[in-house]
Amino acid sequence: MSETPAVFIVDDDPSVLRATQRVMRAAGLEARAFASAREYLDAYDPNAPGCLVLDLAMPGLSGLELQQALVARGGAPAIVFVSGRADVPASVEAMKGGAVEFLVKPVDAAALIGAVQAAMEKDRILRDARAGREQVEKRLATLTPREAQVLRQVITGKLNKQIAAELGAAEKTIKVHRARVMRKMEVGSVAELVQAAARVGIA
Amino acid sequence: MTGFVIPAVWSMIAGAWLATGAIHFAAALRPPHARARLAFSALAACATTVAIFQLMMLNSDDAAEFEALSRWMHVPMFAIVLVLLAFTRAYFDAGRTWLASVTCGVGLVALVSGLSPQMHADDSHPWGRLDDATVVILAAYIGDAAHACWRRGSANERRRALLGGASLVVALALVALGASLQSHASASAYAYAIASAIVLVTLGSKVGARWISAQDRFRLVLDAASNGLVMVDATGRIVLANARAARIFGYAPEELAHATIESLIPGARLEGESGAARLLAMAGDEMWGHRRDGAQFPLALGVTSVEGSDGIAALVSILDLTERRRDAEILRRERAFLRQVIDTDPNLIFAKDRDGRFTLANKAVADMYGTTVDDLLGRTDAHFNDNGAEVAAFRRDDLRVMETRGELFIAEERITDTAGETRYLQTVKRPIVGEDGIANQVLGVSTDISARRSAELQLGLQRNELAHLSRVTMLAELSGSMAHELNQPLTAILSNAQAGLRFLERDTVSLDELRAILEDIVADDKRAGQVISGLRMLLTKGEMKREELEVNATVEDVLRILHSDLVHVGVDAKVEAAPDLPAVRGDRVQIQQVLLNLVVNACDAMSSSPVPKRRLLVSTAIDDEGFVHVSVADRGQGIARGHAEKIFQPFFTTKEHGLGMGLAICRNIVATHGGRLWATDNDGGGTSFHFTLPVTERERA
Repeated sequence: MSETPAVFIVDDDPSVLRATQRVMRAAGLEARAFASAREYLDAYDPNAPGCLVLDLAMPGLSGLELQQALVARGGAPAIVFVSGRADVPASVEAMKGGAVEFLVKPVDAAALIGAVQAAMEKDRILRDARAGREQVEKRLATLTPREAQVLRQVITGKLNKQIAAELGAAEKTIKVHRARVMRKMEVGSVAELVQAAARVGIA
Repeated sequence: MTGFVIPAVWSMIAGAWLATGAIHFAAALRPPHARARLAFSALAACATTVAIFQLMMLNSDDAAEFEALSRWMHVPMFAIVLVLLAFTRAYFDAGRTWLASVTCGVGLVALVSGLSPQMHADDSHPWGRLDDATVVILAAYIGDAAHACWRRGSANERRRALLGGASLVVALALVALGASLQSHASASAYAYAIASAIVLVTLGSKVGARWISAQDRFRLVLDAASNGLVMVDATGRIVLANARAARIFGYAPEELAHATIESLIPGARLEGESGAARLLAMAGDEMWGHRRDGAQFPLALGVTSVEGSDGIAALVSILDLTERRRDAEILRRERAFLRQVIDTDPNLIFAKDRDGRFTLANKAVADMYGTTVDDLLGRTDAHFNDNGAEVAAFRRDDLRVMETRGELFIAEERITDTAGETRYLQTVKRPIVGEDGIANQVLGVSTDISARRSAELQLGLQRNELAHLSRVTMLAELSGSMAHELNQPLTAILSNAQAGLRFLERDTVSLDELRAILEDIVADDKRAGQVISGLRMLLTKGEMKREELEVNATVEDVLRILHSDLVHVGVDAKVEAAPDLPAVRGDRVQIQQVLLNLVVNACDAMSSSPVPKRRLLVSTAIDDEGFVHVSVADRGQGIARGHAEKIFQPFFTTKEHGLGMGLAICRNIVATHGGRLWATDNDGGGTSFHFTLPVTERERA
């Protein structure tokens, strides 16, 4: 698992592939080139940070097909599509699939770099979000069932007395549970707890 | 004296008659004149009997005996009449039957009256004159028969008529007349006796017969001559003419006698002394004869002077030129007709000898060289044609034909005409082989193909225009693909350049990196140039070129042009190229066009197939006949049943926006290259299009 984010470039035209790689390197980005979608897919590591610069029209597996395949595997990296033609239906489909940008060749280096940086940023955010969610989930896993029940009541904004009545327990007991939840979830306020719960979809 | 002489003469006459009669009887057993000789021998017998009667009458002393003898003498005399009739009939082969009958009748009455004692006793009795009447009528009969014989015309007949007929008649008439004063019975007897003697002389006249047969032979020779022969005297009067001469002028042979040569041939007359006579032609060489019916005819004369004998001055030979002229005229007409035929022929027809001189030429040849046929004959091409290369080529071909004695086909040769324009001929040359087996002349027939050639060029031009139009139409459809193909190198160039600029902004610049960038830029620029030049080539309109081209490379070119399109429509294209494929001769652009068409059609055919099934295979091979074989196989929907040939027809299309010209033009292009284009169904579905191209241009025989 590489911590350095990289730009993964997939283009069937070796010349374009090499030039795009140079543009990335000139922008100080780590760039890795793949001559076909299949090649990329074979080397795909979901944990590798970075973004994908993907040629739309390629023999064999096309750019859109690769995107769909990655989504099917549980989440694609941020993708910048480049296409030889301004193909509206294809661009719509690409954006629906979560593409960051759809650029038409020939692509200006600044625009490409900007798009790639935006994609990198998105990837970083996504990765951060995923990392935060994983942390919350890990902490949640340490809670006892009773503590989890208490957590759900707390984030709805109920008072200890109300929770005690709801769960049929003493207010004091609830107070102890609440303190444990706050400590296990490593939050200092109810607001923080609500935010953490939201990350993992507990409303 | 008389009393002794007469009995002696009479007995001698009787003996002579008997002897000659016996001889002729013997001769009568053999032809010719058998009947005449038989008649004569009978006559001799009768005459002998008469002579014996006369002798007995001279010796009788008794009046009664004399009277009886003289009565009975009528019997042999009547026999003589019958025999003379028979002889005349046989000898002249003529005579009127009724005259013979009358003679017979009168003679019979004379015999009856002569035998009667009463009538005989009375000398003045009118019945006694019947003997004389018989003689006269007999003479008339003989005379008539002789005349008929004379009229038959031949020399032999005339001789016979003159000698026999005339002398018999004259003798009979004279004797009958002279003796009528004396005893009529005796007179008649004398007359018959003399007549019989004449018959004897006639038959025995060997000298006359020999002279006449020489005459006959002469006539035979004359008549057998194919020319008319006329003998003329010094005044130009015709003495003798042969049958041919008579026929030429339309007369009977005897009618020509005594005519003048000038009456037959106006302007021809004899001049000069007899013996040195010559015929003068007044109207030059051309002599004309006048036929009896007034028609004129050409003739030729030959004259031989004859050293004057029998008054003949010259022998003229006459040749009727009518037939000869007619033959010459027919020949002339046939020649004129043939001349007209070959002059009417628009093809150039000519014959030349070993020295290259024209021995025959028609008007087309003369027109080509701006001269006349007569002027052409005997001259060579070099005399009329300043283009030495052409003349040398003609000469080389002519000599080759004469040497090899084989036909030579020249598909196209050039000739500069009198106006200095280049004409194109298609020529066949054949040797004219003489009886000695040597070809000393060459016969040639040339067709002026200039017009056809320019029409073909025009057609080719139109075909090229059509092919171009079709190409442009197709390229318009492919413009997206073409733009993309150009876009790729441009994209790479832009990216490389901008990356390079960014590298330069850094503190440390890697020169290796910059060199690599620039090298890539150069390569991509070239690549873009190739795309553009390929595009320009396809858009170019021009004459079809024949150049060496590698089919495998052409396949690669086409797939490169179509690369983006193939990717775009999701077609997986593969090439199976035969290694070491021989080069073909052809037009690169047109072959590319055929391939483009076939590949685009294949993609269209697969547009409704699921993407994984959109597979295209272009393969090249060399076939059994040595042709380069290219096939484009798809996995599409295939060709509807019954459309396998229709698809090659113009304006046939299954596409919504198709012109329907693509395959028709492709087939035309391939055919122009000497190959074939066809379609087959694939076993696993879809269609294969095949075309062949000859490796080398075929030499025309």
